[in-house]
Amino acid sequence: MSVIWHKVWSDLWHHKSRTLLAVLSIAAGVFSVGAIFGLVDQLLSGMDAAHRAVAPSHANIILRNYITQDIVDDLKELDGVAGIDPVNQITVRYKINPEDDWELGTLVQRDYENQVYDQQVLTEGAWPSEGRIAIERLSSEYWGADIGDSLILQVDGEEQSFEVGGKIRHPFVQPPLFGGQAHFFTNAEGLAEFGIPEGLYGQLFVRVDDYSLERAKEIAADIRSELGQRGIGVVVTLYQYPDKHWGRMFVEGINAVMQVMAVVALFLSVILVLNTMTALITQQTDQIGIIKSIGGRSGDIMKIYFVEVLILGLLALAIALPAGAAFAFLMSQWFLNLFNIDYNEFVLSRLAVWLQVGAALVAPLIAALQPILRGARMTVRAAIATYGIGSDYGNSRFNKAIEKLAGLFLSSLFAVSLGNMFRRKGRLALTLFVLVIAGVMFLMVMTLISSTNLTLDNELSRRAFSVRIGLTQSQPADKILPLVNAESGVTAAEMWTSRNATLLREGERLEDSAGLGAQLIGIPPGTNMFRPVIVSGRWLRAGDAENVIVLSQETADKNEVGVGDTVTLDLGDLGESNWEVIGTYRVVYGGGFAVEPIYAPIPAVEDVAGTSAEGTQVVLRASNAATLADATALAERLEARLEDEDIGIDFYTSLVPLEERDYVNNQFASVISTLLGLAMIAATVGAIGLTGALAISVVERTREIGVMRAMGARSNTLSTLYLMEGALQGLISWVIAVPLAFVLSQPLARLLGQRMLELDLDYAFNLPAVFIWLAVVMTFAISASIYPARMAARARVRENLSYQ
Amino acid sequence: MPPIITVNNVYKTYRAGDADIPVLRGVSFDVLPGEFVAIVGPSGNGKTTLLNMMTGIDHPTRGAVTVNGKTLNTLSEDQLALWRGTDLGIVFQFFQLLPALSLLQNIILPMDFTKTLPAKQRRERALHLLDQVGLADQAHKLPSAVSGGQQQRAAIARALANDPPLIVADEPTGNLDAKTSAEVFELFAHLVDQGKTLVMVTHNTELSRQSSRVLEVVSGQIVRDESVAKALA
Repeated sequence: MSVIWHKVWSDLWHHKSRTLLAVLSIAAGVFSVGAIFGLVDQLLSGMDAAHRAVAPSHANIILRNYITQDIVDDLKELDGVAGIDPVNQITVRYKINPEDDWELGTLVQRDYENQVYDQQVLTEGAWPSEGRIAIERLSSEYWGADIGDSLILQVDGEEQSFEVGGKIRHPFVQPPLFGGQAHFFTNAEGLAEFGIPEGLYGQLFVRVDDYSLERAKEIAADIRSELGQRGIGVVVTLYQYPDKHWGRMFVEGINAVMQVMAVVALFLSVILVLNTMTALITQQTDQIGIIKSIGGRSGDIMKIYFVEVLILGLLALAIALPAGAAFAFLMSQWFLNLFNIDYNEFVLSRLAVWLQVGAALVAPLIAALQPILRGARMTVRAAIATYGIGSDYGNSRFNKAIEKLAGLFLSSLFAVSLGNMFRRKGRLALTLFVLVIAGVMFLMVMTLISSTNLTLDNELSRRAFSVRIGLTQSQPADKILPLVNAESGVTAAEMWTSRNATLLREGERLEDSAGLGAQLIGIPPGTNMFRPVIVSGRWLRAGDAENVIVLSQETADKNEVGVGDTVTLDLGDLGESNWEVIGTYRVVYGGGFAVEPIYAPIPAVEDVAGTSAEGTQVVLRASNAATLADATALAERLEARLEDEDIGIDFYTSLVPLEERDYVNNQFASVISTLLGLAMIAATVGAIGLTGALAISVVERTREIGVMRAMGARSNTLSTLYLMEGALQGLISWVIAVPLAFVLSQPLARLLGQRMLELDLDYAFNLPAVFIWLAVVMTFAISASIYPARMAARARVRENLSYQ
Repeated sequence: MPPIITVNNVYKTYRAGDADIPVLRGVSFDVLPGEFVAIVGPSGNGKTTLLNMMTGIDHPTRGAVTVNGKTLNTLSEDQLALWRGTDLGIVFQFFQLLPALSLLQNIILPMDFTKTLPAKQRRERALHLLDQVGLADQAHKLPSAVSGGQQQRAAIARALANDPPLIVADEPTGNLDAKTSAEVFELFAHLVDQGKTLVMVTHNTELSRQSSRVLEVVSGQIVRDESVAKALA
């Protein structure tokens, strides 16, 4: 090894702390890039691959009546139908333990051996058989019911115990964590016990030839029409893309935000490399002078330090590449498992690897360019000259003002710390920049959390009902309301009526924005049970009886429908009718498992339906439903009361607002914890940067430290000086970050709300977070100052004064 | 015999804050090959600045310095670096060995830069030079593991690495005790005997008498330029 390379190795090896600091600085940014881009890459591809693997149906038609296999076979003969898998999914009541309250669950039955679409997979145990059921594996995990356990299902009003014989993966269940119901599986004989004779089916998984969404809708319409001719109604038709997993929308929204954060983290780490290389060059200024005095040219200097940077980058890559890949894989696995997707085979994202290689090797070289060129261009005289102490402290007005200010208000120790901090304004600016960015990111994430909470609270307060119970059939108000009002605690109740609807304009089907399709909901105009946030136009008011509707703003935007426009609603067997849009409302809770409501005055809906004083939903307020547990218990009691009267409950439209709020919180939790984690990475990168910057200043002021020692400064005094300087920088970064975050977080919360949650958040600046960040940044700043403070405290007079 | 160094009417002014501080004021002299020149004078009067003019480390504000036929202020930093590597050996007061390299590697380094010798011969020459300065047995030690006198002898060996005709030394004994200083001077005298030209800044009056010529610098001017015999007279 030539002596020059030996010097490179020696610089890195003999200054392990500095090398480690530099490697960690680069690795932090490279890790963020690998972790985030790997995660984004794997999440979407993992979701879609899992989706494609189950041969997803193009349309899922839920029937109002049961049909025989013969009818299914006839439907298969329709033009454009590629295949139909008939299944049954019914709502059942269950208990895990005898002492538990009844819960609502879904019982699935199909021909498991010959299933073609939306394939369910046995993951453990056996398929359902006589007396034994299977449980969906997410349900098993969430509710703790395992193979061999017994579950109690309500059969014909009686409790009946079933042994769990297997675990099945159902590809299209809403995760229980996000509010999904428990799913159980039985065979045809088993389902017969629940009143559905063998050979009858209530749901159809349909695939069409030459798939397109429009074609799937056309064929589904043909099937509905064929069924209609046989007197069979359809509750709802759900469509899904065969190549895109339904969970995509949870991921796509945060992708862009995460990518921006990865780039910010990389940028911050580049700043750290700049600081570290400046430290290295500063420390070795005298060596550069010597090298030049014995024949080394600028090219030699550049070669030495660029190779050092390259080695630092390679070492950082060696750490960050596997760590980033492992993090991306484990996070993808965790996230995908939430969506009931197995992800066990380790996958290395090529995109992430290439980005990491670029980030580790190119970014540090770019960052190091300026200090290395400065070192290479340095004259021998400048490199080996001794300027004495304090010659780097300028005589600018700013410095004089700082000096004066410090002299007036601060003790001499604080004054020295304050003055020292402003000696290298460029470096101070970079360090502060990193800390300020971290602070702004943290405050913005916290503001996003508080804004989300405020939005949800506001939305909740607009749902002034405790429980809404959906009914499978329209029921007379004079039958339902007395039953509901008889329940203790109920203070008010009213009937709403809903109809599945398809939005049309000039014969063309409009796009709705919810996964379960649209519903026309007739509500008493002037009701005090519910009042959404109106974005444009107006809400329904007392006296409205015409065909007027209030649409979601999202659907209005998607279809360029505005207030005053007239749209057509296809209400199935009720035919088509025209409705004027009088307002648009903001959707807060929505998504793949939601029904999109179109609100209209109940007299207008009754007029179209030819009904009077009946409804499909009962909405009530109760004095004993203030907590989630109380509201859920009330809902269960009411559902039981109605079921006792043979009134069917529709779980799709039943709702306990507090429970929904809980599920929405769970959905946001993963996003928010990811964002908080990234803010913490930024803060850590900031702390590493501060350590580097303070360590450089110790090196630069070696002589000065020597002089202070000679004048009697003790180790404590010297270390306090650096701790104070670190703390001051932390404090200043906080002072800058708070107003900056205050100004930036409102538009950014709006943007993030739009990108991640597709809604305009109500803004609430998170004031407690301001003080939390003060504590965090001061802890980070002081921790970051400990190493440089110890460096300074260890200094000896002779060494420091002879240092050149 | 043409001079190896010609300093011609050199002025040097530094700027400190708003003021110009003249350090050298019209200095002129020649140094002949084989001379052993001691530059003496009080601190802060321009001795090191004058030496830096001769090594190309610093440039005159006015005037010119020619060394071995090269006018230094016409050369770029890189040309100067290469020139220093081949034509000049510098010895500093604080030795300035690279702390991360062994004594042997410190001596090989200038040869690596200039590549005047094939790689294999560089190590042999470095060992030979260490032997010459009495450090053959310390070759693989780091500078921090040997005494100040040994570091300075290693620094002298490094200055000789590329066999330059001219050696300049800035206070080479300033950080050494009397005995070690005498040893270093003995080494310098030996080099001069071998035909090297040596220019040295020193405060040590006793040792300066062992040189062949003394230049005294006061307030940026040569106030005395005498051969040692004359100076002692």
